[in-house]
Amino acid sequence: MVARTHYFLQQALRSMRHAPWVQLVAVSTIGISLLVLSSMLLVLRNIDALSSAWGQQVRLVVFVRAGELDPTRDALKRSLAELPEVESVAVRDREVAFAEFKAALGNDDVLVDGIDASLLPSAIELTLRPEHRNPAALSSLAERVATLQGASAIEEVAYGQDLLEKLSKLRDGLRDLGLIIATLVILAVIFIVSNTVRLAMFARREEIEIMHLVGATAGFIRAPFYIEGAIQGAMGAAVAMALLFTLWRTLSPDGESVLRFELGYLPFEFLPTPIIAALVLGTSLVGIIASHFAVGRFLRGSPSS
Amino acid sequence: MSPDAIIQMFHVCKAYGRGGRALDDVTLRIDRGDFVFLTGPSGAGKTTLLKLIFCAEQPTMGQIIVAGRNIHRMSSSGVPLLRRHIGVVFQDFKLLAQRTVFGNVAFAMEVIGRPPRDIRRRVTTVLREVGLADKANSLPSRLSGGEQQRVAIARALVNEPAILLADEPTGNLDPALTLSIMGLLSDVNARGTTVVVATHDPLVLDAVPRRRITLTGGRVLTDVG
Repeated sequence: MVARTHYFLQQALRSMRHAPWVQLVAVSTIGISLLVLSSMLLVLRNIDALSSAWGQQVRLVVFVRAGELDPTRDALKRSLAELPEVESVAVRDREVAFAEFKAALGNDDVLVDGIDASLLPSAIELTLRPEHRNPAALSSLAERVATLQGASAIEEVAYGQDLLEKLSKLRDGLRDLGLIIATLVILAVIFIVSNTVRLAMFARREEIEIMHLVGATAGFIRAPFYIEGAIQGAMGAAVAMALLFTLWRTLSPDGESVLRFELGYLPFEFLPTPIIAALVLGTSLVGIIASHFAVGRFLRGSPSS
Repeated sequence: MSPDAIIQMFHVCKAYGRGGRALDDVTLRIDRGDFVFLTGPSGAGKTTLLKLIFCAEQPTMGQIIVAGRNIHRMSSSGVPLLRRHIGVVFQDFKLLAQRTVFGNVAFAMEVIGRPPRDIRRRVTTVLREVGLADKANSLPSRLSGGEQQRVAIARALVNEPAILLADEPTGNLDPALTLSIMGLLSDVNARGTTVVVATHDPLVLDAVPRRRITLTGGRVLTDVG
């Protein structure tokens, strides 16, 4: 079995060495096609991470109308605290919020000089239990808060929904685009591998004819070409990963897995090992499937098959 | 099937599309150890008959039994196993130009998964039998036509087939080489291999007086010897 596998591998490599330029073009084309797909995966993965990180941090803030009396606010606070998703509830003091706002303005704090803190609405901050800290749970909770007893006192419920919704739409759009690109890449890999395998089979047509004549089994004839397809796929995926890694290191030169901006940073991690392994193995598998089509077509037209 | 019969055909027909019948109601029997010529003019059906024996073609009608196997009932995975009992030699040798003489003969054993030690031993023996032991490392392009055909015969024999089929094996050779190849095929037959040679070369037919099946228009005209 080992000797046979070694023989198949030897034959596959011999066939690949026979036309190095064809192999180079095939592997580079697969590599570039996969680079597009893997870049998309990288962006998607980081958007997912960002969205989830923001979901973890975000709190739901219920603003109470300015004119409402404290008992109404306290009743609302109690209703909110009874919600199953809520871990803790805190009333945010107007004076403290106003001071924080001024501090955030820095040197521009003169803008709010002469404005009274009583203009600000009272705010009740809800911290959610960890399992509910995600955009979907936030959105559903915000809808329910509006139906609670005492909800008429609510001016607004805020949780950074605009940003989260935009992020979610971007992610959905990229995911759809990613699916289309993945389909195109699979078709491209099938096209490239099947054509190079057919070329390889054409170059070895005399050998194949003799193999048929002397009683080689179909598996014995096919196996080296399957290996060739698998190697092409794996090498193409490896090229794509190398290019993507170079690109990632260029954008994130210290390897800190973050993108630095003037105002802060965004997490920017490379693809995890299981996804890299899945891409390499998946492309190999597509290579084998493409070889299977090519070999089948070629052998059907073979005179002694 | 008779215990001595190695090839039997019963009312075999082979038609290609609308191009008429290449073989028409052929019934014949070849026994183990026979040496048989298939002869007749070009287009008589000699090559088609050989192709049916080594399953490169399927008959349109009729039954063929080769080495105890009914070809009609054989699955596609059975064909390679049957072919291991049949060696085939062609007019154009079909040697691999980039492989040496040894490599060409060894190839027939490699591709059926024989171990390297067996291959070395057996190929050396067969090359000695066909008189090419000293040319083992030569490329086919450095050999004469007769030597190339000897390599092809060695490759056909290396897996010790029960049947050797030769399709115009001397078609590309001069008279002296023709006689030498026929001598080699007679030796192969003397060692017990059933030999079937398709030829329309009178030199071959006169030089080796053996059973002669004459085909014309796809039918057996005479079966003499």
